Amino acid sequence: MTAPSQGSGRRSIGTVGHATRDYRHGLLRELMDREKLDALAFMSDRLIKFASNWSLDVAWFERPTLFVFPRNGAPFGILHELSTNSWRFTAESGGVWVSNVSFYSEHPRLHHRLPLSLQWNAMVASHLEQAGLQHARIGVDAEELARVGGVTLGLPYVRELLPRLRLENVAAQCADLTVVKHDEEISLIQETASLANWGQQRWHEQVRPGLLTAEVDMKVAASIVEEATRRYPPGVELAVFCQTISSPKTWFGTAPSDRVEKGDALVTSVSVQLNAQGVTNERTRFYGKPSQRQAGLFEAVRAASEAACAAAVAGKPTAQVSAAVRTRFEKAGLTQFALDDLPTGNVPLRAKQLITVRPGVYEWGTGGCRHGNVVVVGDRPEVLTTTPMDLASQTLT
Amino acid sequence: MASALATERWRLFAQDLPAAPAQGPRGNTSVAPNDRVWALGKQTLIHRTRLMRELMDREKFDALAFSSGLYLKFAANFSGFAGGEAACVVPRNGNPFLILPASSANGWRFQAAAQRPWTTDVTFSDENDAAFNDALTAKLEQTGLRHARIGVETSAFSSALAALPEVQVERAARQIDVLRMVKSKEEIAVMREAASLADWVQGCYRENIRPGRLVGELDAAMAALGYQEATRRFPDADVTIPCWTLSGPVSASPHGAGTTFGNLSGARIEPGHVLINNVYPSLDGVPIENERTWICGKPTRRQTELFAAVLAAQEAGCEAVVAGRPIAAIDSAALSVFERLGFADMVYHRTGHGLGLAGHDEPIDMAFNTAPIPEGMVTSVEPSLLEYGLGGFRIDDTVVAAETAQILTRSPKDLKSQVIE
Repeated sequence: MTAPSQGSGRRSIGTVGHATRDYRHGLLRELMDREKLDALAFMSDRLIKFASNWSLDVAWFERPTLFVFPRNGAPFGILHELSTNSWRFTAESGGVWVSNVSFYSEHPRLHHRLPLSLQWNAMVASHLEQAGLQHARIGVDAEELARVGGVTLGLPYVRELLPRLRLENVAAQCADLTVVKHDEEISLIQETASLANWGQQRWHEQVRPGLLTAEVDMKVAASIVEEATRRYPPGVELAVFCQTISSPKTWFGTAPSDRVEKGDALVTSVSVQLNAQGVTNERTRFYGKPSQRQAGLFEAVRAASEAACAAAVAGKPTAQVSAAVRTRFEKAGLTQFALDDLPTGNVPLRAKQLITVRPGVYEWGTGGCRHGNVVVVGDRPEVLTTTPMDLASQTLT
Repeated sequence: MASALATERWRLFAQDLPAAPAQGPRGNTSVAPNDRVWALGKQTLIHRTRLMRELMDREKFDALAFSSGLYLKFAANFSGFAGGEAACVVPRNGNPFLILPASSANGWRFQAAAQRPWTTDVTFSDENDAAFNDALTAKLEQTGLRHARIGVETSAFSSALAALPEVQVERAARQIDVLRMVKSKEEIAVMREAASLADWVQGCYRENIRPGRLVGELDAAMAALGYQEATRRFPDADVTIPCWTLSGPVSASPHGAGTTFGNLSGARIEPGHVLINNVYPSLDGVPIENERTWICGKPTRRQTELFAAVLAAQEAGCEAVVAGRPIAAIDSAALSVFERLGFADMVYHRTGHGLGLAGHDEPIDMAFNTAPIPEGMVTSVEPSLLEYGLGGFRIDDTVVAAETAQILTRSPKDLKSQVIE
């Protein structure tokens, strides 16, 4: 096995490379040109990862982090001191796409002084001035404000120091940048999904009557970590989360003290992230023969899930996905128990867009039933979460 | 008006809500057969109601209004919020009420059946802005708050209240956040139980850390043991036990190199590694922290030196958690040790932060906060030294401020206990 060679810029297993960087930075430039912006400023973990390939490791509400991408000029970052070594690890492995970062401190230093958290607004103003952006029109991805020691930190307060700075909230346009994935990202997501699918299968094998659901979840999480070690070279960013909720509380509670019993409906989420690219695979399964009502809910959810996945066709309206679900639930007479988390709007779906489809029904007394899938939109939708959804496969005896 | 207030859909969800008790505040303190307190109840209700009323009197508010899951728990003890638009309004004079989105209806029913929430007055609204706004407007009118001055936690209500132009909404996030700083005795008792569980899990780590083991596999295995023990101690409790270890050079970054609560593929414990593990159980949504540094094999001179410095700084920090002293004194107590020993350049964060419903809770700023420590404040004390190439050294206890500091996490932290031979 060899280490990921991100430094060369070629994509390695479990990462994205310079082709993705160039694609994304091209999207940033197009956005700036379209909106007549001199720079983009990102504070959300999602956009910071998107544009710099660095995984933010502190929380915005107490430790704000800012990356600025000028239309003409080198990008730079303002990072919290706690991120110092995390940044250094990633930078030394060649994994980040920004080279100029500065740090601020949240504790007093006698030596090697840095600006303090409480000086964050002034520090950002000064860096914008150094980059010639003090009169710029900057698009921002969020208007989150940190509050530290009674001082509010954020770009609106930087503007008090740079009165000719203009800020435009372009959060929606920024979110749109991340919709259509580069081929490298699609490959990474396929790998991630494959690992999540593998994990669902292990749940199937690990479950025994009398075990705590949380215990089974942790066994599965452990085996996914082991499998990732077999599949990937060292050094790929990996995070695994498994959670099962058993009936009747499905969806609505956390009850790790629940034990697996005959007659249970179990909804299991297996989430895997590789290089912060996450896939959640959710399946409902029964331990023992389901009641007629349970089986009825299950079949309706399966039909709705399949219809929604099949509707993820490029060029069709996004709302078609939720309409497909609604039609199936209406037909089954389950509308009043349905909750979904489905894309809406009439914007056409785009090829290489990734959508999450997780329709569910939740009946008080019976419990909930949900399948969660991840689908790549195309002329033919590609369902990445390939764990079977049929009743026979998901009934354990 | 309020078309969504009683749609057929939510009548179906809400039809079997348990009846309200005849009178008096709700709040069912959960005591397991072994006298363990694992959930918040009446005492916390009284404590928080007093805090909220004092704030309303001070600021001349007629009500406080909250919208985040954190404050639905704080003000109404409801923890089944599934996201979306919600409101919890606590009038100065009158009963609190909630507007919840449809997706939280069954969550509410489970909690209401267990008599957990502190109010029975809940309205379910369809999940769109207009339905939520209608429901909130109608409820404020019904409760005589149409001319009220309302202190809010976020700006979420500004458009929702457009239909009631005489309502004065005032942003009071700063004052509201401070309410979380002092815990009720019951809350501290729950945190003590969570701390005891964390100590137990740390004992499992002591038995299980060994060279060659995958770090992520170890953490999952320890969490599984934790859940088994939690079930023995607290039947039916709302418990989570996140466990996260960083082993070797990567531990020089407190939150890892990559996804938080993740690890790099192939990360294994190796002989000579220094490890930091984080055990963060929460009971009824109230988390505590217990972090320990471990050495796999005979410590080197450098490891011994850094370990000893962190232990001394951490003990000095703990001792400074004394009611009436400045909050910043906790940070300066630990930093002074590092300065004296010549290690201050290896410090990359404050000594600690408040603990409570938000995880990282008030006080957020420890290093420059000269306000006096209030009795009942709960904080982490977790100074660290981070050496790139070698790893991190950090010890974290959950500490309650009183006349003398009360340390809730009691697992060993001396070098001898933390060396895995």
